[in-house]
Amino acid sequence: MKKIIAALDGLKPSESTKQYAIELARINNAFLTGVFLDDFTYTSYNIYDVVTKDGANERDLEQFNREDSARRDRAGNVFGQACREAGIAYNIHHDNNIALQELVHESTYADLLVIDSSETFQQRPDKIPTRFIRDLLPDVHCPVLVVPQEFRPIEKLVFLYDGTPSSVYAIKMVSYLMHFPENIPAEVVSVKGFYEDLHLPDNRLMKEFMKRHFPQSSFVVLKGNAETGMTDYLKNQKQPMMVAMGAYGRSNISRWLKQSMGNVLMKELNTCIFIAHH
Amino acid sequence: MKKILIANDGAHFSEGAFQFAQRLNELSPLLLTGVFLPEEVYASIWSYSMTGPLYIPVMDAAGGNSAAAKEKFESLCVKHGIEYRVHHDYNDFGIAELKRETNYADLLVIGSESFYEQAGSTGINEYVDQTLHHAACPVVIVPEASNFPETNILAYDGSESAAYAIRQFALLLPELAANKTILLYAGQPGDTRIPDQEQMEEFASRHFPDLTIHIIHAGSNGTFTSWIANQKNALLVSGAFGRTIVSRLFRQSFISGVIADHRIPVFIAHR
Repeated sequence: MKKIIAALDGLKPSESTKQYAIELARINNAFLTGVFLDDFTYTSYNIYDVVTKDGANERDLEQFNREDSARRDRAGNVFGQACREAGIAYNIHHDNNIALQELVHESTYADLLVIDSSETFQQRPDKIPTRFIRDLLPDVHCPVLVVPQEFRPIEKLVFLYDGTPSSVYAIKMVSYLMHFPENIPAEVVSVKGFYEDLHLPDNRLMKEFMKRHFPQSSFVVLKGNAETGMTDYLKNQKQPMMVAMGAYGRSNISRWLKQSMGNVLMKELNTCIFIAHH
Repeated sequence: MKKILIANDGAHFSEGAFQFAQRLNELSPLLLTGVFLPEEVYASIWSYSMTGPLYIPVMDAAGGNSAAAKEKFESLCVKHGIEYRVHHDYNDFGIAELKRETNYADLLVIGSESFYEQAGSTGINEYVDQTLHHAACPVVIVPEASNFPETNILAYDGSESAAYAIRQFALLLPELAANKTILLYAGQPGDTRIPDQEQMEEFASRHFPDLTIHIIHAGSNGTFTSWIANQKNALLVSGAFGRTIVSRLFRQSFISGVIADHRIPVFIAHR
């Protein structure tokens, strides 16, 4: 049995994180932990509104804190209720320390982390990919599924493959962690330079490997610039898909998030992105 | 279906490693890819270690040659009904080529004893050492004479790399995860809890239905070695090889000790 964790903000819980996590746990017969990051520095009220010329009114402050705490408890209960209705085994953690550190720590003891791409764990909304996601991805200790704001069941798998160990590692992790219907379309997409041949990198080995894990997969080799070629290709996909990619080291993932592809995948295409570190 | 790689060094065919793969195949069908290195090329591997005192000139050992080992592998696979492939014809085999093969495999099985035969040294040999550092997939080292594991020992020191290895083991070999499992923590005298006990328990007990947590108080490497010697048919699951907190706790790389003593199979996964 696998352990999936869903990162949730108790003050504004993401509906799609909940739905994706429950759906994945149900299909995989996994254990789901709702990790509510009740960061003590994060409140629903603005501290500057409470502080007046004469200092902060403690009664008001207490009242606000009680309300926040009640909201967080309610969010936990709603999550628990949804898990019970789906008939999955679950647990709820309320972590009070700094959200990012708590989540990175929780990820050590998880097989998969599910998080909404718009998650900020602060009052102010942020542009996607958010600061929180950009800080989380390089440090996280288990594979991550970054989900869009709207739940759409995954109908297609796309594996970004460039011949590196980390890109194959991501495919391995998808295969070990998730069960999909046998006939789900799967595509291995590579981009090669203008003057290179159209062979898949390590063609023979890759096909021998893929045949065992995703026998239905097809292989696509594109020509051109790695980033724009891939982005254009993905833009033309119509089905709700999950794009899986590997990342090697911190700088690699940070660079990728700065490029337009991260933005396109998370914002324009609303796809699920599976990222595994190697 | 998993793809498992079995590395042979040409002249030596590791029965122990093959038997291990064969038993895994019985639990869940797999593709077994035999990697064979011709002797003259195999010799070049050792050039990697030429800088150290471990350089061993490779001869066509009396044990046989690569063609015979290949034939034996094929006939055993047919006999046991294992789907198999043979990869040979390496032009520039070396660590780079091994890395490439492990990149496209779920698990690499190597027989530690046969690697010993030619190295003939005490302690872990350079080739096993290099393999562990460079493999892109988890590695199982199997001694020639060992029974198929019935108990898992998860070496845990509270580090991310230990948790990583435990996760990889559970995901890769769920059939073995169903066995009796001991989560072993090497603590300081007086430790009664393991680091992150709640999270680790929540995580490990999902994967390992029969889980016990055991704390040994590290003082000397001997404590661990004698404890592990008493575990019948065990398999050790360990994180990053070398220079880990575990190895420091045990004063030296304790995995090397276990491999060198040929006692039990060891599963090693590192990032």
